Amino acid sequence: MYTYLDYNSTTPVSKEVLDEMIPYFNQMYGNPSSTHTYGQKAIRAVDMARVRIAKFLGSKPDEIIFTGSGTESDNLAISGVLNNKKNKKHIITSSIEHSAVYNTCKEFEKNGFKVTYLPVDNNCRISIDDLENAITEDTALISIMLTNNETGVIQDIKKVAEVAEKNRITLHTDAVQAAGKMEFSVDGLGVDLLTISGHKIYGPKGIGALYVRRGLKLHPMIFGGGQEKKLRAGTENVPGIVGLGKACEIAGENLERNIEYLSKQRDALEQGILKNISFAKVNGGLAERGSNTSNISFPGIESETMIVKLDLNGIAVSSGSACGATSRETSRVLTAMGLSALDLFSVIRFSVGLGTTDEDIEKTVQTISKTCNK
Amino acid sequence: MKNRIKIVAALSGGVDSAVAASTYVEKGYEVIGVTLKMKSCDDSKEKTKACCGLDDNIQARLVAEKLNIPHYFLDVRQDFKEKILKYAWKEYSVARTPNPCVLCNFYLKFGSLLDFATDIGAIGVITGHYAILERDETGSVKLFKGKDDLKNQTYFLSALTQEQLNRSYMPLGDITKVEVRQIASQLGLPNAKKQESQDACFGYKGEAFAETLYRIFDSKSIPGDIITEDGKIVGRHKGINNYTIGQRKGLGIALGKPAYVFKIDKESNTVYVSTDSSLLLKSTFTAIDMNWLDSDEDIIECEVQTRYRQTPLPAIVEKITSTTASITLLQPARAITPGQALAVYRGSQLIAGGWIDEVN
Repeated sequence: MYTYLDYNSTTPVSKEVLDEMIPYFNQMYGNPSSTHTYGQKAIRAVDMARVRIAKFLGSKPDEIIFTGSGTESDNLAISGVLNNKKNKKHIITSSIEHSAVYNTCKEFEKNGFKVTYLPVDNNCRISIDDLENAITEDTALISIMLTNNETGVIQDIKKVAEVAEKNRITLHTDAVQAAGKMEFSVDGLGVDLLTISGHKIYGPKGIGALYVRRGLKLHPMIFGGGQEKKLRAGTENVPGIVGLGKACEIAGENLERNIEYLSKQRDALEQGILKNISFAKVNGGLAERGSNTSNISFPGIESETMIVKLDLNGIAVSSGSACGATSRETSRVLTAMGLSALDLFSVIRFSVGLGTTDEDIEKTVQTISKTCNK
Repeated sequence: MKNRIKIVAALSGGVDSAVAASTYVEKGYEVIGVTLKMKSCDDSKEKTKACCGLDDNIQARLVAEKLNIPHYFLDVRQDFKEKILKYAWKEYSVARTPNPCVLCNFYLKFGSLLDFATDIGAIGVITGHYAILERDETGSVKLFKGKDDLKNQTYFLSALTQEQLNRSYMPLGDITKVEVRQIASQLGLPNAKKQESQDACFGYKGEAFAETLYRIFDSKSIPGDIITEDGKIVGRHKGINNYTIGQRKGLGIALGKPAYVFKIDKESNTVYVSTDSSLLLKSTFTAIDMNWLDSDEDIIECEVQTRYRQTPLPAIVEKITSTTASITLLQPARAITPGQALAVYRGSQLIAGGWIDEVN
C-alpha cells in the first residue's frame, strides 16, 4: 500500500464530491447564462455552490467569486485592488507568502509599486510592530497568509485586521492551506478578501474562489462576458464549482472532528520521528500551527535523496511547495525563518490528511528511522 | 517483486539512454530513471522556457511511463555552472578550446549522479554510451570502444576513473545505433525516431558557446589583430575566445586562398592565420591531468585521439610524472588543440586519458 503524506500539495476528490459533480459533465451541461431549462439547471447549481461556500466562510453568497485556482484568486485580489486604487502604490505582504502572492507582488514591484515583505521570526511569525511600522499614506493593500503551506504556522490575522482597519487599508488573506484545517470566518478574521482552493479540501483541481467583501470594488482581471460580476469573464466551470461547493459543505460539517483527527495523526508522526531520530528538528514547532503539517529537518540527509528513498519505499512526501519540487533551490520561507544551510537542504514537509491511517504513520516513522539510523 | 537489485538509469530524453534502461528492466532489475537538470533558464539570452530542455524532460517522462519505472530529476545546475561552464570559460579566456562533455561526464553523469545512485542504495548507473565495459574478478574494469564505429563515445569517457567505471553500466556497446532504433521501435518508445542532439547541453539558441560563457560570467571579449605567419595584419578578430586552432570559417578575411588559424596568442591578443595548412601539422605535444586507466609501462606504444570523431593516430606516449605525459605522433597531424581531451588507446581499449596542454 502506498502512503500519501503530501496533502498540502493536493488531496484526492472525495467520493461525495465526485458523485455530485458527475451529472454536470454530461447531463446538466447547460451554460449558466442560458435562459432555457438547461441553463437554469446549471445556474442553480452554481448558486447552490455559492450558498454552501458562503456558509463555510461565514459570508454572503454574492460575496463569492469563482476563479480557476487559488493562485488566480490571489492574483485577482491583489491586482483587483491595486489596479483600482491607482493613486496608492504600496503593498505590505510577508516574506513567507506562497508564490501566488509573492510573485504577483514582485510583478507589481517591477511596474513601479513599492512592496514591503515583512520578515518572520524563527518560528515563521510576522510581528505586528513591523506591520504597523511599514504602513504609509501610500499603502493600498495588506496581503498576509493565514496558514503557511510549508510549516503550517498560523498568522494572527485578527490582529493584522485591527491594524488594517485602523488605517483603512484593504486586507487580503490566502486561506488555501487553512480551509478545513482550522476554524475561521471572514468576519471573525476581519478580512476584506480571502482565497480558497478546491483541490486542497478534497475538491477538484482547476477551481478556486475569492471572497470579496460587499462594497469593495475590484478591477476586473479577465474581460469578456459578464460572468462573476464582470471580474472574471468566461463560461463558468460548473462541475468544478459544484465540486468546490460540496467540498466546502463537507469540510464545514466535519470541521471539529477533522481537526481533531488530523492533529492526532500529525502529532503521532512528529513525536514518532523525534523519538527515533535524535538529530531531527521541527521547523516552526513553537508557533500555533494548522492541524496537519509538520516541517522537519534531518541535517546531513539531503531532501532530494530522502524524498526519492521514501518514494521507492512507497511513501510520498515533499520538501516544500510542490511548485518548486524539481529544483534544488532552497525554500524562501525557511530561509526567511533563518534556518542554517544544513537544516535548509535537509527539510521534509509531511502533511497528513483525512485518508491517513495509523498504519501510514507507523510505516513512515519506521522507514525514516531505518533510513536515518543506517 | 521485493529485493530486486536497484540500479539508476540516466534518462536524457534521447533514444540511446531509453533503450539502455529498457535492457535492465527486461533483466528484472529495479530500474530508477533519473534526468539531470543542468541548464538554468536564467542563463539564456532569450529567457524562454524552451531553452532548458523542457522537450527532453517531456521525452524522458514518456520513456519512464512506457518502461513503467519511477523517474526523478536531479538538480545539478549549480555544479554544472561552477564545475563545467566556469571551467570552459576559463579555458577560452586563456586561448584554449575546452571540451565540456568530457568534464560533464566526470563531474555530473559519473559524479553527482553516481553519488545519488549510491545514496539511494543502487549499484550504479546505466548510460546509453556506445562503449563496452569488461569487469574482472579483482574488480578492475577495462573500457573498450563499442561495436558501432560511428558512435565511438569512449573519447568522452576518457577522464573516468576505475572507481567510476566500476559502478557504470553501458549495455549498448555491442549493438549499433541502427539496432538501437529498431529496439526502440519494437518497444514502442516514444522517441525512437528522435534526432541526435549532440551539443544540446551547451550553448543557447543564436549564440556560440564561447559567447554564452562570456555573457554568463560577465567578461568582455577584447578585439585584436589577425596576423599572417609573415607578420602582415590582415584583419581584426572579435576576441581570442571566439577562435580555435584549425578554424577556417568566420574569420572575415580574404587572402585569395582558404586561411586557417594556426596559433592563438593570449599575451599579445593575436590570432595567427595562414594559407599554408602545413603549419597546422604538429607531431609532439604534452598532456596534463593524466588518468592512467590500464597502463603500467612508462613508454607506451599506442594510438591517440586528440578530438572527437578522429581516427586514432599511432603514437608513443611517455609518462613524465604521475599526471603528465609527452606524446609523439608517428605522423604529424592537423590542428592539435590545447584544452581538448586526449584519449589513449591500445587497439580498441581505452588505456588512458588526459588534457592536451602544450603543442610544439
